[in-house]
Amino acid sequence: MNPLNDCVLIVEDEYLIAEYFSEEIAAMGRTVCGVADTAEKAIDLACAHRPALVLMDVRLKGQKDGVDASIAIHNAVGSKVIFITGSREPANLKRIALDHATAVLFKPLRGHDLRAAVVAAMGAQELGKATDLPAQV
Amino acid sequence: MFAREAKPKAVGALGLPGIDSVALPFHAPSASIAEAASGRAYAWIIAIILLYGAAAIAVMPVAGARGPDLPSITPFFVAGVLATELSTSFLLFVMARDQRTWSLLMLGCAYLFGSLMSIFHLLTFPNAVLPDFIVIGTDQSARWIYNFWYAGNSILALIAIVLEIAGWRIRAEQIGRAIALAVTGVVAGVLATVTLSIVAVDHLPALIRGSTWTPFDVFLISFELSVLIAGIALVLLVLRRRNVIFLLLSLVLTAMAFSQILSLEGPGRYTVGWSLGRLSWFLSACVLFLFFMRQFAEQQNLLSRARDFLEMRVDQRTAELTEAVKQRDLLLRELHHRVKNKMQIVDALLAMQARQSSETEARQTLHDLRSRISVLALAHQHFMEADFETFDVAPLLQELTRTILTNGADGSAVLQLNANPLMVTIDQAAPLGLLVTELIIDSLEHSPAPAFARIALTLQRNEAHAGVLTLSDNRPAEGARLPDPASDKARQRARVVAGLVRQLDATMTADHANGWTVEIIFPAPEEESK
Repeated sequence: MNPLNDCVLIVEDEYLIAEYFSEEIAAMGRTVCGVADTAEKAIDLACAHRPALVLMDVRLKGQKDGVDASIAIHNAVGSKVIFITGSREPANLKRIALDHATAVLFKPLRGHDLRAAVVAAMGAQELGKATDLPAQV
Repeated sequence: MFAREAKPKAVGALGLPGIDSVALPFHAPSASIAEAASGRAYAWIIAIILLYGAAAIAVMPVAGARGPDLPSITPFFVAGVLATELSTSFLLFVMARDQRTWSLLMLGCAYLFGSLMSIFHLLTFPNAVLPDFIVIGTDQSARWIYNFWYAGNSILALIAIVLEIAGWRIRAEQIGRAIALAVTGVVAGVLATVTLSIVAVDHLPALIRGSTWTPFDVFLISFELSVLIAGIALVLLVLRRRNVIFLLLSLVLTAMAFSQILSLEGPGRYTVGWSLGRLSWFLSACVLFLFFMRQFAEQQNLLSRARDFLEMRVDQRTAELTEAVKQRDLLLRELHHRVKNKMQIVDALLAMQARQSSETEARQTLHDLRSRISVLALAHQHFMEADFETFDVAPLLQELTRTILTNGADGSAVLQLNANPLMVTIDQAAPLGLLVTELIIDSLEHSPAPAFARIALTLQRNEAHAGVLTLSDNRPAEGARLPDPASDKARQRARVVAGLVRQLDATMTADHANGWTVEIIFPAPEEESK
């Protein structure tokens, strides 16, 4: 299997949230290789970019949800997946448990939680160009 | 046989509340069991009357033949008449109470009179109870009682028919009294005629000579017969099939009339005519009784079907409600999910705004704002997960302090939280969380340097079961406070804290002898005793 690229795919159907996550990832000195708002787009982008990590919203536009996309990406690419969900309901968590989630984060989440989960999944990144953007905000 | 027209509205009459709006899947009878008979029923009655007549004519030639003396047949005859007529009279009174018509009341009287008189007929009939012995009265008494019995029955029935034609009704508030009066009147009439027949029988004309009727007896019988025939004619020609009970009554009267005709034909006791007459009378006593029994069976059947139907409806309704609750639950969770998503968007907007800001103070302000908003989100989250009106605020404080500190200006500040489980309402949770947030932000701002902030937060109940929130920090003494306590920001914060304390109906005391300690006492709902 081809090696994965050192980038992050963001799957989130709320534009502003996706934008915020992108900024956070960029602030960590990581590359965002794409933003998808449906499961189908997420799978396409994952196959195209082979990201090391996917930030996956569970509820997405369209028929399929984040768990569907995650299983497909896991099988096709093998990326790590951090689920980001607004629901702590058992039914939802059970569905997430179907997949090999690296972490599950709950909305509303703050930068620190996201950064900690990304670092745990990908390892720390030397902050190069991001020094002008204080990561703590 | 007496098919009735279905009236679905009759459900209410069953006394089953709340199903009026539901179409019953079967035909319920109308509110009353006394109602119009069908044309078929009318034709049947006419046919039976004609058959009865034909049978009577057929036996007439042998009616006069003398059969064996069978005095013991009288107790059987009387027992049968007594049981059926007494029951029928009771049922008729019950119906009269329901329908409030004078006609049914009078018919009930006729049956009550008949049943009571039958007892005295037995007691006065020669050899009926004991061989060669009459319990009371004389041989004449028996025949007089028999005639009174017959006449009373026929006349009361005729009056009932006339009242039915008139259609007079009893006022609701008088029905109880009317029935009591009727029963009393019947009993008085029975006693009067029986007394007359026994005590004053010597002053009355003789009705029986040997075992043959006297002409006066024949006159009386003929009079009774004409009353019966008048009744039958009124029913069949005037009332027709207006009321099924009275239509059946024509059958009853026919049987009675033929019992009289046969006993006239067989002039004397123990003739074939006399014996068949008794049988015919017994049959007449049974007609309405059988009708009521059939009604009872039908209503039982109906009740059981109504019950089955109701049970089915209850099951159906329960399933519907369960489904509705499920839907509502789903909707609530969807709403909850959306609220959290919106909170995330607000936070994202503030975070992006902060990132664009070059000034440290503006960034700090936006950061504090995010902290406050996240408190609201957390309070919402904990409330939704609690599922009850009250929930433990300790986990909320835990998460809240962690959020403020880990996302704070410096990760090295230390906050020691010691929160005992404490139930609060949703109305308290948000202001309490905001209060804690303000105090922590204040502590961080006042610390010599954020990295050295040491904050202790405790939550417990005091002896009076009130909630006690204590926050202490290591800020320098009064003089060295940073920033200026007179600044707009400090005043604003003091106002917010005071306002939240007020909202919580709490009291706040502050002490800065050693660092800074603030104690807030607020009313907490009682723990549920488990």
